[in-house]
Amino acid sequence: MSLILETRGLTKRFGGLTAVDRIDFGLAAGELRAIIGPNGAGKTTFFNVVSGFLPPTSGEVYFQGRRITAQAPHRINQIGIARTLQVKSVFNSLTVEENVWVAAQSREPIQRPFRQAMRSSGVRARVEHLLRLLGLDGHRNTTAGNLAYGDLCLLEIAMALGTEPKLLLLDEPTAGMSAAETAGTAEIIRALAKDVSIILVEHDMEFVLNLATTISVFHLGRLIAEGTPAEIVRNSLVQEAYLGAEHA
Amino acid sequence: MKRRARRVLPFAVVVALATAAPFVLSEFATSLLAEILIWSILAMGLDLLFGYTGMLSFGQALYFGVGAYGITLGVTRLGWAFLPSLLLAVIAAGVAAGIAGFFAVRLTWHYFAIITIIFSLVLYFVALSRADLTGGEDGMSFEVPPIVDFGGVELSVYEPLVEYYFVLIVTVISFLLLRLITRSQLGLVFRALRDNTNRASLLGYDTLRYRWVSFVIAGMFGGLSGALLAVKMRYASASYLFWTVSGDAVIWTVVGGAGTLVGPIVGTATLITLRDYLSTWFENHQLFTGLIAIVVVLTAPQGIVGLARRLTTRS
Repeated sequence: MSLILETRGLTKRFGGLTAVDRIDFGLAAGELRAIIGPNGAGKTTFFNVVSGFLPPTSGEVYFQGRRITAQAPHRINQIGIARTLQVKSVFNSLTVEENVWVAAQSREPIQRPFRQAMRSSGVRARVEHLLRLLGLDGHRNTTAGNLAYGDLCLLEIAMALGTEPKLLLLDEPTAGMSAAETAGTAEIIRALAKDVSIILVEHDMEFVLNLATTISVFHLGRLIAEGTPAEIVRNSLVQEAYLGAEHA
Repeated sequence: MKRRARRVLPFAVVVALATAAPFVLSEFATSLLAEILIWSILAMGLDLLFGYTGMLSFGQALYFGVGAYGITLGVTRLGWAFLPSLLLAVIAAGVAAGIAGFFAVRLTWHYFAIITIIFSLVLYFVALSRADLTGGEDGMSFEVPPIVDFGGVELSVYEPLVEYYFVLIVTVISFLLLRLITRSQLGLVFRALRDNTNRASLLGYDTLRYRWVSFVIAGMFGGLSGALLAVKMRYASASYLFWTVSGDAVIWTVVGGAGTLVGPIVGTATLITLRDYLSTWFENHQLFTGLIAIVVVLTAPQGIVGLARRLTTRS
C-alpha cells in the first residue's frame, strides 16, 4: 500500500528537551488516523514539523513519496496538506463567507488586483458546498471574530478544506465543544474521511475510539504504540503511559 | 440598484463639489485644496499598506521624495516632457519600494516600522550629501513643462484652473484604482494578511510576496503624490524625504480612519486645513494636531470615518 505521509527518524529538540524523538510514522492514503498521548507527548510539535512551521532537528518528512522536510508552510499547503490549529485561528474581521473565500481562492494561479472579490463562479461553487457541509450557511455574514466557539472550529475546518487538501491535519478539532457539537463534528469528520486522508490529534479518548480506523500513541516524544482502537485499549504500555494507573 | 445608487451618490456629490470649488473658493483656498488632494494620495497609498494589509510604515517619505525627484530630474536632467517624467517618478518610486520592501516585508510590526524609517533616513542623508544632484537642503526649482501639447495648444500647470483640475483628476483616478484593488480578489488576500498572517500561509499564500506587492503599490502612490507636489511647488528638496512627511501620512490616515480609503482623505483635509488655520495664530500649532490625534485614537479607533459610520448605522 502506498503511503501518503511518511516520517523517518523525525526529531525535534528544543534545547535539552526532545519534543519529538526519532518518529517513524506512516499513513496510508484514505486512512483516518488519530494521534493520542498525554500533554507534552509531542503531538502538536509533530504537526508543526510536518506542516513546515518548525524545521526538524533531524529526520525526514515525505508526502506521496516526495521529500518535503522543512519546506515553508505555504509550499506544504500547496502540495496538498492542510491543517487546523489548536488555538483557533481565522481572519477575525472578515465574514464567515469571506474567510472561506480566502481559503478557496488560494488555488487560483494568481490573485487578480482588478477582479472584484468573490465573483469567480468556480470558486463560488466550492465555497457554497463547504458552507453547507459544515452547517455554516446561516452564519455566512457573521464576522468571524463574533462566532461561537463551536462554529469557529467548524469554520477552521471549512477553510482547511477550501485548499483542496489530500491530507488534513486536525489539531484537537473538538476541544472546548459541547457534547452535541462534538457528536456533530465526529459525523462531519467521518464523512470527510471518504475523500481525504485525515490525521487528528485528540485528548478525548472516547471520541477517538469511535472514530479513528487506526490510532498512534505518543509518549514523551516517542511513538510507543500503533493499532486499531481495540488493540490500543488492550495495550498495557498505553495503559501505563496514557490511561493512568486506574485502568491498569 | 438602490444599494448601488446609495454607494455612488456620495462619491458623485463630492466630485461635483470638488469640481465646482474653484468657482466658489478664493484662489488661495483652491490652491490649498489642491495641496490637500495631493497629500491624500500619499495617505491613501499608506492606507492600502497599513489599513488593508496591516503593515505600519513610517517611511513613506522615501517614495514621496523619490517621486518628487523623479519628475524634477526627468524634466531638468533628461529633458523629458511632463507625462513621461511623471511616469518615471512613479516607476522610480515603485523600484525603490521593491528594493526596500524586499528586506522590510520580512519583518513585522515595530521591526517593520523601524526598518522603513531607517531606509527613508538613509536616503534623506544621501540626498543631503549629493547636493549637486538634489540641491540638498536648498532644493531645486524647475520649470514645469506643459502637461500636454496638442500642436501648439498647451495645457500648463501655470494656469491655476488647469493645475487644480489635473490634480483633481489624478486624485479621483487614484481613489478609484485603490478602491478597485481593495475590493478585488487580491484585496481580500491583503485583508486576510492584515488579520492573520499565519493562517494565510497555512492556506498556501506566500505571505512575503503579497506583503511585498502591497508595499510596492503603496510606494508607487507615494511617488505619484510626491511628483504632484513637486509640480505644484515647481520645486523639490531633501525635506520631502524627511521622516516628518511619513509621520504626517500616518497621522492623517489614522485620524481619518485606516482601512476605509475615504478616511485618509478626510484626515488629510481636516488636519491640513486645521494646521493652516491655526498656524496663523499659534507657533506651536502642531501641539493641537497631536492632541487631536490622541483624542481620536483613544475615542474612535477607526478614525473619523469609522465613527461617522457607527453613528449612521446605529440609527
